[in-house]
Amino acid sequence: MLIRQIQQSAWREFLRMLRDPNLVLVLFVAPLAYTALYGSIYWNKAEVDVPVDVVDRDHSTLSRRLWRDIDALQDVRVARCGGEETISRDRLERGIVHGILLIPEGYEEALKTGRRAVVHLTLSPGRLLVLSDIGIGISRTVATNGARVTGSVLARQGVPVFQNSDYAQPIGVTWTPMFNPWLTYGDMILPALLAVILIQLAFIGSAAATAAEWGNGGWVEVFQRQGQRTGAVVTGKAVMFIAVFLIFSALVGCTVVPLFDIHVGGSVALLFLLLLFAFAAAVLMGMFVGSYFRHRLTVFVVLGFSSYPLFMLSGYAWPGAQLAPWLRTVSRLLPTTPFLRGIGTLTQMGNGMPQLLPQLLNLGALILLFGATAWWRFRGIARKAISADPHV
Amino acid sequence: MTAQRFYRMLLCELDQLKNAPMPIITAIILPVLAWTVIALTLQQPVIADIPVTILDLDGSTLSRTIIRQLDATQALQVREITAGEATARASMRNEESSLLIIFPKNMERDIKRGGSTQCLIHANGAQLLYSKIAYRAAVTTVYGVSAAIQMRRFEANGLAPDAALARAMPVSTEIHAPGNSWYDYGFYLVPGMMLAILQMSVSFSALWFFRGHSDRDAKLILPPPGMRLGYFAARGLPLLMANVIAVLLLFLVFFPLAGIGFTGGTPELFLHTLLFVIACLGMGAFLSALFGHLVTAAQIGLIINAPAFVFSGYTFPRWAMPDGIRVFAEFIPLTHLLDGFFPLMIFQRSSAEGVFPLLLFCALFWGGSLLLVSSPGERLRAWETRLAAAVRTLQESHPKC
Repeated sequence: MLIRQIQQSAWREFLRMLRDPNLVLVLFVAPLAYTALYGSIYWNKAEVDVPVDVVDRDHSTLSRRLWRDIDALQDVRVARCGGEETISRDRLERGIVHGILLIPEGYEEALKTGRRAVVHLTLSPGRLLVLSDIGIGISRTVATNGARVTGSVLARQGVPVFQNSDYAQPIGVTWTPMFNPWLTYGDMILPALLAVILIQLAFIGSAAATAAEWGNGGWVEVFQRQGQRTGAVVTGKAVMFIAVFLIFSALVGCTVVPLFDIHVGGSVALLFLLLLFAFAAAVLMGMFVGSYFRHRLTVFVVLGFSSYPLFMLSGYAWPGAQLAPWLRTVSRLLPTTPFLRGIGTLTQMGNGMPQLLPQLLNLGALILLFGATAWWRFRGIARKAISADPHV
Repeated sequence: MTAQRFYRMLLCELDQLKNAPMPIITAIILPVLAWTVIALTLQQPVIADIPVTILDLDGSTLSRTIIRQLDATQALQVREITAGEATARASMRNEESSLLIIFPKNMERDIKRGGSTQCLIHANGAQLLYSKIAYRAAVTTVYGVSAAIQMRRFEANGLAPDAALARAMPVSTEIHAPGNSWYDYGFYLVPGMMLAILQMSVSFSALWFFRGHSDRDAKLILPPPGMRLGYFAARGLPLLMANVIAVLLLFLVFFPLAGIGFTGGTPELFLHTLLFVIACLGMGAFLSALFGHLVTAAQIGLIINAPAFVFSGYTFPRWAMPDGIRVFAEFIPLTHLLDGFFPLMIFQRSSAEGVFPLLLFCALFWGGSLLLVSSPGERLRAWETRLAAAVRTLQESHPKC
């Protein structure tokens, strides 16, 4: 009997989705369209050829060699090389270039005569990636150039820098990034971006569909005319939304993921399990929240504001360790946080069940929490519907 | 249109807003809630104490010296020192550490014999922000120790201490980030995100511009020809005021709360933002007039507003985006606001950057709204109705379709 009611409720939900053009847009069009649109921003994955001006006050062979080496870096493009700092400063402030490298007068002479030289790199502080991307590359190139000249000079003085290469650099560094070998922003952000789009659409879509029940006597139809039980309605609705989003996730997995060359290091079965848990938590939360809205319009307007805060709280773009402890606890009450952590651990790091388990347990607890609250809320609505309350 | 009539319309509008305050809630309450979360999230905008695991296979005085120096940096915190490779790698895999530094066996002995050694640094590339900052701090520390050893060697070869220092560290790079010397990530994330939320709140608050203020699907209100200007003014003025209050809250409460200080150019920044508000109100009004169904207008608004910050190029630069996406980004008002906002905020540079596109948006959206509620719009709606009727007729004549 209960199974039959769940089936009936799920089928009714499916028909409602198809009949409502606004729900069709959120539940059927948006998952693919949004993921493709957002994903295409990161088509190139990494920024290359960041424009930088060089102010060469030395005009020497060594200074020219230095900025040519910098121009040869993959990340950097020397847009202009001149002696006027004010022009370059103006270009930096206008956003035409994102850094200025100033090679001081006497650079070559200082290096050759054994005095220390300092080059100045001014970076635009108004961009997220410029500082770390080009700052590291340029300072390494500068250090290498300096070491090369010093080596030649010392060799002439009889110091065995070339005969014994160990002599010149006592401690070297070999740098190997794990889980994102090219340290590209696109590789890091794309899996999370697709995940957050899908989970937000599941949340907003289920909330909007629940809110729409208030119009045209939807609740009365469900609870009074069809005599459905609260548990069956909650389960039926949730099952249908979860199924729709799992199907779309599979479609995204087959189309958008290979198109943008997104690395999935972990097991696909575990990814499916994570998606199942995450959609269940998000849909139940959406049904609970959506039941307090009387119309889909308010759902779209109000919940539209949740995307930025939820993404920031998730600890993916902004490290969770930077959040205040109480805020970190609050963020655990939102499905986005464990979901995005799980996505990161599975797709990028290629981890298995031991690392995924804490996130699944977190999502499991949220399923119980939002399942219980949705049931409690629907039961209250059902009582009013059965007593034919005019507000229902 | 007399002043008295306009006054009556304004009172009527205020009365509507009192009874159905959804536009005001959207303009003030919702962004305030979202801004609060953003401000709380970015309370510690300077990245510090990134957890590091050290795999010390040497266990020497030298390795311990480097470890102490690493731990003394602001960016790094040595979480674990181990001699077991499996433990070290597990701490990376379990995301307990963001950086793994491996000191090889016999490191000190090799250096004392005049040789060299290689430290291995593994960063968790899945935590991009952490890995780049941690790498920079670790490399600076290790190379500092290396330079000190090299200096002693040069001194042993007869170089004077000053010359030895100059030869050990012949050239260095001083990196400056004007206006943000602590590399505070909140410095651009806070204004960028908060202004993206402002775009959403302003344009959503104007969705009811040509409707009753109900959360139900209110019918389109078409002001009669002689009253259009009055209608626009009476409806627009309270909305503009509500959004100006939101902007004031943003500048006076939320930016300072999130640690964003303006050293100058605040009046100009405020004016830039007001122009942006007028453009976004126009966007909302245009969507309100364009779509028959208010929910569809809200959905389209969401599609434009939700990705605004990502498209603006402040997380991932616009020049690195594909051409088509770059064109799409140009149609988002936030892109142009931020283009003018940051030069003003950071460099106090008074520029017209972004002003012209915002003026263009104002003309386009408000002009478009006016057209949609006058005869061209009526013709468009009549054509839509005819098309819908034709589709219905077709469906009725071919039921299987």
